[in-house]
Amino acid sequence: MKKILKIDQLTFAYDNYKVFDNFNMELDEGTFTTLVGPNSSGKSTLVSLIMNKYTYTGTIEINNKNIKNIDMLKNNIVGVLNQDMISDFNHFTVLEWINYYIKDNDLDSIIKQFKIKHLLNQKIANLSDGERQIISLIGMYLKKPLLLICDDAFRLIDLVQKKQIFSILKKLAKDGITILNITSDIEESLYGNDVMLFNHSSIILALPVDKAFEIEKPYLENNLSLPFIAELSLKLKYYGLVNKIYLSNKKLVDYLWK
Amino acid sequence: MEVVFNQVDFKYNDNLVLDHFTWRVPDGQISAIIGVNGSGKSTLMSLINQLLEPTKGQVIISDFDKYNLHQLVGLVSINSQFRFQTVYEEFEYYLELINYTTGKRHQHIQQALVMLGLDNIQLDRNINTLSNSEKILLKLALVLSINPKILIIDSVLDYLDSYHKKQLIKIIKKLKRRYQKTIIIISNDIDTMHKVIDYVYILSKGQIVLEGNKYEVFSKVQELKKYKLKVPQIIALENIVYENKKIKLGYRDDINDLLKDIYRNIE
Repeated sequence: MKKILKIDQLTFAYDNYKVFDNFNMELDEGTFTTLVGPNSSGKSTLVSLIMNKYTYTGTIEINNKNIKNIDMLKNNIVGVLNQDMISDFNHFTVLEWINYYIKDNDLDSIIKQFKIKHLLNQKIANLSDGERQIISLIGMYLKKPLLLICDDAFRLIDLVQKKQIFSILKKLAKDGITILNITSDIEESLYGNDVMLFNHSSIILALPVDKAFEIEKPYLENNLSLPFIAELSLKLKYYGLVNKIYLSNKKLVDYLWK
Repeated sequence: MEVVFNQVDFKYNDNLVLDHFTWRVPDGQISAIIGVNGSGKSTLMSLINQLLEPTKGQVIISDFDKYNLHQLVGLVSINSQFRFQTVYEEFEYYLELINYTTGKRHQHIQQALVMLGLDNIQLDRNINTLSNSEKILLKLALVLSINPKILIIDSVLDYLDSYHKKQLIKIIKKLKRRYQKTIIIISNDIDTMHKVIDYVYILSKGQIVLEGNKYEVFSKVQELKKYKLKVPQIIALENIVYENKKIKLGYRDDINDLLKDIYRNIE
């Protein structure tokens, strides 16, 4: 499969403090990966390095192309979604904002895809945090990045809207945009396809989400815990009440009380 | 130590952020204020901490005349900034607020650091070299060094990883049990709050719309959803069991208790 991101032997230090030491990482095209790591694990530094904000040794390739001399801010190959990106546009309505971005894109299909018909005439200032993130996401989508990084972007968003956003991200991944969600909230990993556990700037494990939570130890050792439903399944499994890790409440309950 | 909001209005620009708001903060207990962003949570805290004044009505803190405000209310907020370079300078600033002697200051600093498991940190350490979680715990240590009677923990839990969350839960429980502090927590992390709090107040459009002990409030799943609030994971699971299988598990705040309940309810 085609590699969208390939990091090879990355080494980087802030002054004397070494953050990355021969770090390697790869992402396949069209995957949706959740990179989870505790506080101070190097997550934000990783994003800064991919965006070429610092000088480093080693190579970072996007779509088989070394990005060392590319101005990542002017170029749209990588999009980074942060917590609040559109407050500068508070006085715009959603429709005005989208029109500002759209050139020959089809407005109707955007409205359908992101389910925002009810928001079109609202001012961006009056949207909830989750709605603002959906609108920011549209902006990202219209730039057609190869890789979309969500950098701790969903911390303040309520569960209902989170689910909606993650279902949009899943669709974008299906359309070929590679998604990397970087978070310290392990619950978010349930919505992606793959999980990478990251600490001290190395990948401790990388597994598909349905295999990622069979052992608790690596998470505890890295100041994280399992997602609630996985932790519960693991405890039930220990007592012989289930025989696998469930990732959905409903499925677990249906199995327990057949 | 009593804190009472009596018919408080608070206007910001033309927005009525609090509307005839009345609240008696449970003394010596741990309370959570929950509401969507912009519901007025942080305004409430600033009113207790006297950073803001009500447009109408009163915020009454008992013994307000007898103490320095800092000894009454300690606010630990993710938004507060450090003022100085080193850990020691920062403590100096706090302790100067209440005129302790040098010897007593040192004792207070040490006690606060030990309580938060930060006693390995050198006092001359530059704050910029601390990790994010250490910075958050230091903010709490600074406030605790003055030993305030009311402790407000605003949006701090949300920025900690699981390990540091567990650590902070233990500290908060100890502050209640051993030192009878009145503690108010604001956070979007319902699951962590669920493990530590006694009472919940749901804030919407400047008023308390739902209140009570946590089991009463969190069991009202439909109402929480109406206010666009998350239900604690344990309660959500118990609710699915009830709705699909008509089995009532007890309301729990600990996953191990939930496990026992499940065990008992399976043939």
